[in-house]
Amino acid sequence: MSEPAQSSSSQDFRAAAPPSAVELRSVDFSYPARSGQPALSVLRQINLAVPPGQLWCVLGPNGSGKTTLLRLMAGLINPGGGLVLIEGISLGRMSNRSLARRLALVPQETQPAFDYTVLQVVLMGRSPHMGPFGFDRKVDLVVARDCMNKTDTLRLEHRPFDELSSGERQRVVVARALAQKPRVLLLDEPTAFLDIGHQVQVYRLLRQLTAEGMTVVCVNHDLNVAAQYADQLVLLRCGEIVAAGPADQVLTTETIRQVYQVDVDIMPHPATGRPVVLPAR
Amino acid sequence: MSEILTSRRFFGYLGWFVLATVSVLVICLCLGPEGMFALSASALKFRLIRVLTAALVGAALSAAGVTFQALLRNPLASPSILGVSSGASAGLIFVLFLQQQPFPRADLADMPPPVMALIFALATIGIVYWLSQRRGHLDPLSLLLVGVMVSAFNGALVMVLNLMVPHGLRADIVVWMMGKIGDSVRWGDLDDWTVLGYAAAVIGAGTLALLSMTRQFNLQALGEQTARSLGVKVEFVRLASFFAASVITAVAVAISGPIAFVGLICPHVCRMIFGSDHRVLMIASVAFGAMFLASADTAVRSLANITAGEIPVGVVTALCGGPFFIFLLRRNLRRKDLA
Repeated sequence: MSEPAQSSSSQDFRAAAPPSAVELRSVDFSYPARSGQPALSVLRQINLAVPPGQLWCVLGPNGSGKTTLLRLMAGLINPGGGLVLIEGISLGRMSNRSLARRLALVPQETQPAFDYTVLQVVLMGRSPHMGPFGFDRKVDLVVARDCMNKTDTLRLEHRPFDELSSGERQRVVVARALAQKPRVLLLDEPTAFLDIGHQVQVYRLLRQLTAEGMTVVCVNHDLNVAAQYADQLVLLRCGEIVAAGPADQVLTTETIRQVYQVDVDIMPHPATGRPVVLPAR
Repeated sequence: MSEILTSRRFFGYLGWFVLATVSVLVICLCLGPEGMFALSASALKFRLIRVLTAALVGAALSAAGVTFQALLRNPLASPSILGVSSGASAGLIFVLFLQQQPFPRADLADMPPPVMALIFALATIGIVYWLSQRRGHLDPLSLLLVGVMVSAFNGALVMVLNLMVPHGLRADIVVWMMGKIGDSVRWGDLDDWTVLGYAAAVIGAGTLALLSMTRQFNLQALGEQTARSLGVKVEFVRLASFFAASVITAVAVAISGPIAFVGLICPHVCRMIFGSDHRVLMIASVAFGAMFLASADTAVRSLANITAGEIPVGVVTALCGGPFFIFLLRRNLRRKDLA
């Protein structure tokens, strides 16, 4: 393989420019063979470099490997081959704790096993910054309130988490992630169960975060919402990247036919000029 | 209750819990069928051992209850759920069975019954752990299923052995299986204080280990992925909490028999008062468990004259505990509906 040459050239590159916030170098992942079943390859030769301060959306049909990609970035699973780097440091060389201070994950759904209030849930996000005995400090409360303010959940502070609507819950979970003070935020279908009003709220929040320097990678199903808000899109099919880049390059009738096996019409958004995907009749 | 737990607040809670526990234990020490003050030194010593044993067992069962609830992500889990208690019962009855056998008795039969109970309980822990692995790790769902099955198996073993011992012994066995704080905790050559000291050391160390993992319990309650992404070593915490909680349960059950409901009710009452922050919940449950079982045991001890012989304390905890638990649960549900 040409891997050594590739990595040495990117070393030179890194000396000149700031490292990518999230970088995947020829990453492979497969679930190991089990009795009677061969190994299942989920991702093959994935190369990605997300620059700091951008919002990227990962798109693709069910089973294309989107969530696996996110789990690899979050260090929840280890790649079978290749490297995952966060801010230029390989995940294998970082402790769980120091990773948790750089990167936060918002899973698809959060269902606490016990009753916690919103404030308690958000304070748990402070965990990677806490001392050995794990007590909350005044500063943790300040940070937690600040994050709740950002996500417009401060007024829910004392409400039990399990009594919130799904939109409110998702924003509380984002506040919990922000309380980690990460520089990279990963979200797995954050708006899967939300109506359009709440969807737009979440994406506006994500844009606001990137404006403040946060890097956001978001797995998504809604092509149109992604096209309007993301800096770049990544389109996956069967564990391989089909297209990556700005929305108007990624969302074309050809790529969508190739990935989703469906014919669509694509037209520019009247205000932003970004592509809008319409199902053809 | 307050949602933010600073170190100052934690030690404030701890202080109050210690104070309350000590007060309750002193009151328990003053009560008894002989009356309050006319006490000889030997009677006082006898009471002291019982009160301390009850407190220790109550604390251990409560701490284990909190842990199993966190580990299995289920507020209805209890220390008996993984088969440790029934394993201990089987061990005890096995000794009694061996002692009845006419064939040349092995040394096994000379073993003090609680020791065999402890061995069986520890063996049960090992088997449950071994069977609950999935892809090389302890899996909560398998743990629950295997625990229930091993419990049922041990229960059947108890039944069979029970049928094989003479009639006279069966009443003793039934009493032991209800759970009872004895007048003495002597194990063979070891005197009361030695046994109590060893038990306190194991239970104390186990409880401290569990206390040190309570912040991770909170994070795990949010879900496995969230806990992992917050830096929790999920597999290690599961393994360590499973063993610590199982071992202190085994020790408690070997001393007193499987006392019902303490490990379920005490954590629950504390959960309703203090919320589900495990850092507070753990110390609250330990204190409440100690107070609750010491009080219940003092009640059966003091009422022994009226009830013509002592009622095993496990019967009292089950008789009071069940209805009380349902009452609390319903009240809690109603409050939720109103909210």
